[in-house]
Amino acid sequence: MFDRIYIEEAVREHPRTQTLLERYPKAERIECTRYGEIFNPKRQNFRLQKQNPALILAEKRGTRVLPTPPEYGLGADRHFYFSHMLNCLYDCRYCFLQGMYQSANYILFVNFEDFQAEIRDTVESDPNKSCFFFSGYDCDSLAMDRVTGFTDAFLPFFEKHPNAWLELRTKSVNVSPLLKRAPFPNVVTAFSLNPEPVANSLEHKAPPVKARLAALKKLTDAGWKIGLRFDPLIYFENCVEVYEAFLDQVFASIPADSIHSITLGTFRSPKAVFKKMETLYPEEPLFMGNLELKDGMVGYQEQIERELFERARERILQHADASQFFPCQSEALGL
Amino acid sequence: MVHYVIALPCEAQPIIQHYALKPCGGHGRARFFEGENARLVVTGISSLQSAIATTALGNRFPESGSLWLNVGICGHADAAIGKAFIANRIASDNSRGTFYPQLPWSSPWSGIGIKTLSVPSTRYEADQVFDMEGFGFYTAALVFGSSELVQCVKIVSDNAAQPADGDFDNAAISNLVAAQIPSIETFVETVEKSSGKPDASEWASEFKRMAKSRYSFTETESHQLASRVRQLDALLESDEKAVLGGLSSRTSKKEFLKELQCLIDRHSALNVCDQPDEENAQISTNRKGRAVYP
Repeated sequence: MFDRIYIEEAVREHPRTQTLLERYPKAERIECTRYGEIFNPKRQNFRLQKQNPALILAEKRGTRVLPTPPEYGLGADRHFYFSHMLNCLYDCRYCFLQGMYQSANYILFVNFEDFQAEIRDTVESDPNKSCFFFSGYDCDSLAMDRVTGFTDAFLPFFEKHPNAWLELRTKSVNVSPLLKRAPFPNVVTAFSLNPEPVANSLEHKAPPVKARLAALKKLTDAGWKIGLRFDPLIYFENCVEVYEAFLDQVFASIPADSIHSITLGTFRSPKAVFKKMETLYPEEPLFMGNLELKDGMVGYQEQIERELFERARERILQHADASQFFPCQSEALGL
Repeated sequence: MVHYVIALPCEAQPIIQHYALKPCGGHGRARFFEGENARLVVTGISSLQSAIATTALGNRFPESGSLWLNVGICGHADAAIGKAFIANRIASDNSRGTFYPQLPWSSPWSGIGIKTLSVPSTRYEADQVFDMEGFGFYTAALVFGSSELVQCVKIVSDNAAQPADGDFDNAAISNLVAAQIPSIETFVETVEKSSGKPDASEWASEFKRMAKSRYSFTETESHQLASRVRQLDALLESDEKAVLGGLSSRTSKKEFLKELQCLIDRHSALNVCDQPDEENAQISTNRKGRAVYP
């Protein structure tokens, strides 16, 4: 799976590093002082590296658990995110990661125990308040689980901390790490979903939508809570009708009482990130038309965004309770 | 196009012959050679000479997206004479910093660290090779290409059992490089196949020329024009492009640019997704040639 593995000297002897190196004996091993030497230099081409990314094993230093922006809450008292990995197995054309980082190489921060200590400290700093922790902001939470062992390390941890909620954000169908355990309520596996035409065209290397829905069904049958993430909505010809039919299809396939939360948002990106994505993929129609710059963010023209968002919102609320719905929408639209 | 940066004439000779390169001037002591698919500079020995010559070649032939290859001999503790490596780490004995060339392709050679020395040494090391140019080359070539497209290939010419004695056997060195040419060629083909960008079409050049002959664009408008024409070039079919010629005859400059953007808005909405053809609900291809599944 990896032709090259970079190893930061601080984690050379870490048990997780050793396990991974044993697992990929043929990979070329390259030692480095700090992962930033490889990941951060400017003269790198994300698109070329995405053809065959290397793995970088590193130590996450400094602050490991960060508060989310207020508009990304899911109803808990406090919301945080942490990133045990940077970059994703999949290659979704709308993803901000391709415009965010210089490198497409995967970084795995192997010091899971330090993340857990900080999560524990965060929860215990105000034990009466519920905390939600998002794990799939800079990566897909489950796609590389067989490599990272993330769920084996974090599911037992969250099981012991019932006031701490974990979101596994994913497009992966690798749900076996959850299915092999008895369900508990404070883990939400949240699937990013788009209709087939969008998934087939823009969500490169990700499992087909039908397979994601089947994985979702397996989780709900087993008693796990799931999340539905309709974000980003993509504008295309007849998109409103396609999205409405798709939302009907999704809700018809899932028992309503298994749904923890639903989020909705249209395609948007900070200007600098958008510029970089556009430069990487100048032939990509997604980055060409019907867009405008508003308050430093590139998004769909207001009328397009409003119609697409509103119609999807109305459809979702035909199927789900408003208390489960957490829209992410431009303040500019006042929605 | 591949740019070879090579220290010694005897190292360069097999590559010059292989690509049938012709001399095309120079810069100081550096000599340039050019052919249809490759350019080459003979730099002379040392990191600084290599950096100067690399910069000179890049400035003489400004071109983005091409591969830069430093090919040359090196020393290693125990690797066999003639074994070749590709650099995965490049450091220097008199400069700070380390480069990590990125290699997202398969390569015919094993990766290894390079240590670029200021003076030759026979204190060979097992985990890296010694050379005298790699660091200077890499520093300079990164101005012209991204880390994936700047690579160093080093061929062992001396080791602890057969240490360098200061005199170069030109014929032997040429043979070492010549033996690697099939691998170099395979590598260059792999990289060029994976990194090639589509060139702008003749239509795009002609359309921009026509627009500029009718209107006097400001600098900002010229950028808008170039960007919109590039996007339309990617979005439109040939027959759709053909009818665009009439646009500029009937509109003002601002309306002309606006009309181009309207076309982009319309066609990007049509092209952003591959939607199944409802009349023929079988696998088909869309206008971008992608497979479309019902």
